[in-house]
Amino acid sequence: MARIGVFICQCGPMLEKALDILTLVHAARRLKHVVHVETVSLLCAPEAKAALVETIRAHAISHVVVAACAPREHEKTFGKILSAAGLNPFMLQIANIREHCAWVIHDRRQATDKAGSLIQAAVQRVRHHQPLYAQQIDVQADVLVIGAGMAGISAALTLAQPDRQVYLVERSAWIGGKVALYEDLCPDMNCAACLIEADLDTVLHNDRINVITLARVVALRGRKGNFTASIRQAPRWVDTDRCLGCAACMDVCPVKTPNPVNAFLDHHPAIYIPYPGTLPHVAMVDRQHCLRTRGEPCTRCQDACPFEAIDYDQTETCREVSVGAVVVATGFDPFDPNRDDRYGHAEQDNVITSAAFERLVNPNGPTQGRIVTNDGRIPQHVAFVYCVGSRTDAFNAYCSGVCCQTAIKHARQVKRQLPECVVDHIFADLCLPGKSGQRIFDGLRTEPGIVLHRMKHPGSVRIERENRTRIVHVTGPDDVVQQIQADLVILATALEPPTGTLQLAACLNIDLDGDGFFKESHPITDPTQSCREGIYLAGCCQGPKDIPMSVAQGQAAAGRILQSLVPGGKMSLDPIVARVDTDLCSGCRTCQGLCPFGAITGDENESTVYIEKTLCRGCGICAAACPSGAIIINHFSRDAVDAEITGLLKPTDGYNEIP
Amino acid sequence: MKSLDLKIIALLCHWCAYDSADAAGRSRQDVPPQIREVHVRCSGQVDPAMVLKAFAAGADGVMVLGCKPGDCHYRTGNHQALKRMRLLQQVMAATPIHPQRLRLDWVSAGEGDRYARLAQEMVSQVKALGPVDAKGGM
Amino acid sequence: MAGPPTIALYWCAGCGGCEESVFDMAEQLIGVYEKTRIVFWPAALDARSSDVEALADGEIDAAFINGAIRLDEHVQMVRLLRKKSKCLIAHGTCAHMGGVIGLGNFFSSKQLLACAYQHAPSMATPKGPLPGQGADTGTTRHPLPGLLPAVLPLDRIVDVEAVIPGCPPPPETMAQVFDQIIAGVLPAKGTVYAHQKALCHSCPRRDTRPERITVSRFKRLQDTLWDPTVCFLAQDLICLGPVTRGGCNARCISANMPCRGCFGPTTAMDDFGAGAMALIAALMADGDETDYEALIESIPDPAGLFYRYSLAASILGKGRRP
Repeated sequence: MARIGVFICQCGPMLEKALDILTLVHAARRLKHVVHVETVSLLCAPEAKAALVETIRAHAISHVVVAACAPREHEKTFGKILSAAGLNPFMLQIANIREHCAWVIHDRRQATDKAGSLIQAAVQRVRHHQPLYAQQIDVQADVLVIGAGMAGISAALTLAQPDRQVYLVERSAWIGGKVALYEDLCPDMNCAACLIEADLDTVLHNDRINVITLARVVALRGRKGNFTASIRQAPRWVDTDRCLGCAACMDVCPVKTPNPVNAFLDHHPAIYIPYPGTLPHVAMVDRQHCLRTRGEPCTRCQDACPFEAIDYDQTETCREVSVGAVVVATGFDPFDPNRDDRYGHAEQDNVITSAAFERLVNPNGPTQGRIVTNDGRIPQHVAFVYCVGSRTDAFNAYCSGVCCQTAIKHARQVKRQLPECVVDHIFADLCLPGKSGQRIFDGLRTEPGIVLHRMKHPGSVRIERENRTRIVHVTGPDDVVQQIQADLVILATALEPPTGTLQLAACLNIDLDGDGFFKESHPITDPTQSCREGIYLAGCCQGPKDIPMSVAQGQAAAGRILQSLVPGGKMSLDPIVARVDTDLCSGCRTCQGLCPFGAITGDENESTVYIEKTLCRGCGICAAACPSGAIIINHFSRDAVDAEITGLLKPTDGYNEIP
Repeated sequence: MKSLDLKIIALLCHWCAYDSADAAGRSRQDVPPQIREVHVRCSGQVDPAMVLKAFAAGADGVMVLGCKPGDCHYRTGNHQALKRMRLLQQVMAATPIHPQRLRLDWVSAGEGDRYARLAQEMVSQVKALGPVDAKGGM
Repeated sequence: MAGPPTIALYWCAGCGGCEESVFDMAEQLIGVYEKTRIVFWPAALDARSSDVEALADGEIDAAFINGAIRLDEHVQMVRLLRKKSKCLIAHGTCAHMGGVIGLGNFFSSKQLLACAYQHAPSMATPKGPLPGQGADTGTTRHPLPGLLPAVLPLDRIVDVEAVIPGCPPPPETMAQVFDQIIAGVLPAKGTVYAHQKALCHSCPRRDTRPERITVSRFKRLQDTLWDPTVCFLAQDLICLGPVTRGGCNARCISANMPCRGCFGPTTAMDDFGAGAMALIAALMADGDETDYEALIESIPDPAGLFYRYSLAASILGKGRRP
């Protein structure tokens, strides 16, 4: 038999003005099962809290209604009071007579009427509350990081702490991502390799970081604290423990295929080391182009290898790891200018992307760092076209944020190597945020041989060829068309979500935003977490950003994980979850496909469904869908909500028979 | 029956809608006294039975408020709410409860002014339809 | 009880199908006739209501009442039978939930009478009087029973001990109940002769139902040739099996027709239509408002379909005021 105590807070002097408290007290006293009603001047004050504990004990109160401010303010406070008084903290219902009543209804009588209804409703609802207990579960402290670019590496290094393993899964053959392919970095033109090599070495040699290259995550089950990830690794056909990267195999391989690492500006053999200085410094076989894949019994590389490191019997492997959190750091792919013929893109013919230029200017690239045209000439005129694929409804409406500074960096590299070269910058607007961008640009434009052209909109260009020269037709803001001649044109391409993002999102069951990047939990207050708890986002896969921001985000995601997943620690599960009445469940599975968190499965005998408590978030979607009414949400049952609604609609005068 | 006696149940989702009602309070908006708020987990928790029972218990209108499309804290709850409420409105068209007595709308957590405006619009809408003869039901 | 049990059967507003469910017991009916004392059965015997009045209170062991409460005469009869019976059994869907007859509750009784007696194409006197009490039959005045403002299920008028659902109930269930009574055991209060769980649990097509069904357009039976071995919902055909209590031996499914819900909802859903709406909304494929509109349009008369058997018992179905 419920013994309900009703406590009406006056919020200091505030509520008395807006509400006739005495009427509320009298009405509450007449409600069924109410054994005690009292007004308190300020329920959250320390003395009041202590007194409340005493009152609950003294009157053997079993259910508590607090009429006060919004639950978000003090629900936890009052819950603690109940615990102190020996009651389960869920035996509480709050009637919001301040935010929903006194503060929005300016007629005292009307406000009092509504407050009376809210209190009556709370009294009716609280009778349906049951004690609930937060379950403690063990957590896995290990972490899965997907993507070994700057963001992934920053996360992995921060996470590699005692008692914690990091699984760093990378789909290419090397770690370091895009930055490992660059030569200089903004703003100070630091050598990229020098900057990151130490970190890459640490990653490779740290016992706590398990690097898995040529690999993808193919399945993820579970919840924060308890994920199981399936990782599929493609065979390299090279034993990485034996291979020293001596490249003897590369010399004897008869195959030559265009090299994607160098933007197809040169070729690589079927067995190769992606670029000089690759880490891990071991060879790999491009099985798509290897003769053995076509059935030919070629063994030239195996014969040439001094260390018996070549193993054609390696097959795809799949392994499962248990982790407590996942960091998605899959980076970006540059926009492909072939999607728009106005750019006349041809890497082999002097209209190249900024990614290709990075390889051109890199000493370990296809031209050993010499900026030359495809036929080996030193360019006299170089043109940069900005906003290729960015800021246009045709492709990506957003600004990619880093391409302007990258183009300026590239211009500086051109001027450094070729001081006499004329460099044209063709831009729509300039995006130069941060501490140094504007300064560097101001410095650049004072140099001789720098010409600036403004185009009317992003994409107001057309690039054509005239013999060995490229002509860029630029439409200016005044609609006048200019022709700019160049020996080499570099396209500052947009940053887009990388290929495979859709599949990865489906595999991890996380959302993408309208541009196809992984969607953050909240763009302002929670930019490092995906929509699923325990799966974090870092780097360009969440949105275009520069290297410092990617590093910062990787560290931030790691910080979140370090703070919430302590080795040997436990996690508290919210008890407001759904449960199935198996006497009523027909196994129709109407609920199963609707759960946004994959918490519902068929049971072993497949005759009912099963809701995994650790995955359930208590949203109620399944309960509302169940045609048998067999699913109940703890604390929010149908009966409880119906009782509250009835309480709101019944008149509050006089004695009330509660059905 | 005076318009002040009209009763409108507002089913507010825990994440955006309930907060927006609180925000309306903090910024001292005018929320009509006919509105009666109920806390639910998600607009996706609202099922047709809950709405029908509200009408049978004397509600003249029912307003379901959830997070804006794309913002649902539980990813798809507001979507499910849209499907259910549209179907329910089609069924209500055959009953004496006019479909416009049920309203589904979206609001963000900080939008106290929008909450107040939606509440006022709902009251006007229901006022124009008058009180329900639900106990005279079908 | 001493001697053979005393039985009564009465029909309110019904189609006669529940009487059929008794006759369909076939040979077993002979056993029933021999082992019981049937004192009142308008469909089969010449007993009058005065015969019932002459009985002692509680003399009838079990009264099977089928049909919905539509007329004031029904109210009088069921109250009389309640007085004279130990046990009342709501026999069939109409007595249980108002049945198809209950669809009349979409209209006022005045509208129903006007439609039948004035607007029907075959009426010679479109402005003629509506039948009411005291209608003149020519030689004597026989008052006609009056239409109640709304159809009601049996338990809105009298206490009911047990329910045999079904439109009509399965003859096997009828046999089971009679056997029980003949053995001297009256149904306990609250007995419903149906499974706890919805039909999906015992459906012969259960294994063909996929984990997730999404429908962009519902089909009607006449629009398609459907696979007789596969779940109807998976073929975009509306089947209300997930909403409906089992216990009917899935006879419609076995006859290759989808379930229409005659056994009523589970004990946790007191409104069948609400359960049906929850089911259908859950099956709708994702889209935008226009998609949902079109999807809902593909169900002609959803209110009639979802409340086909249960309108009179629905949350809003308490009957209009006169």
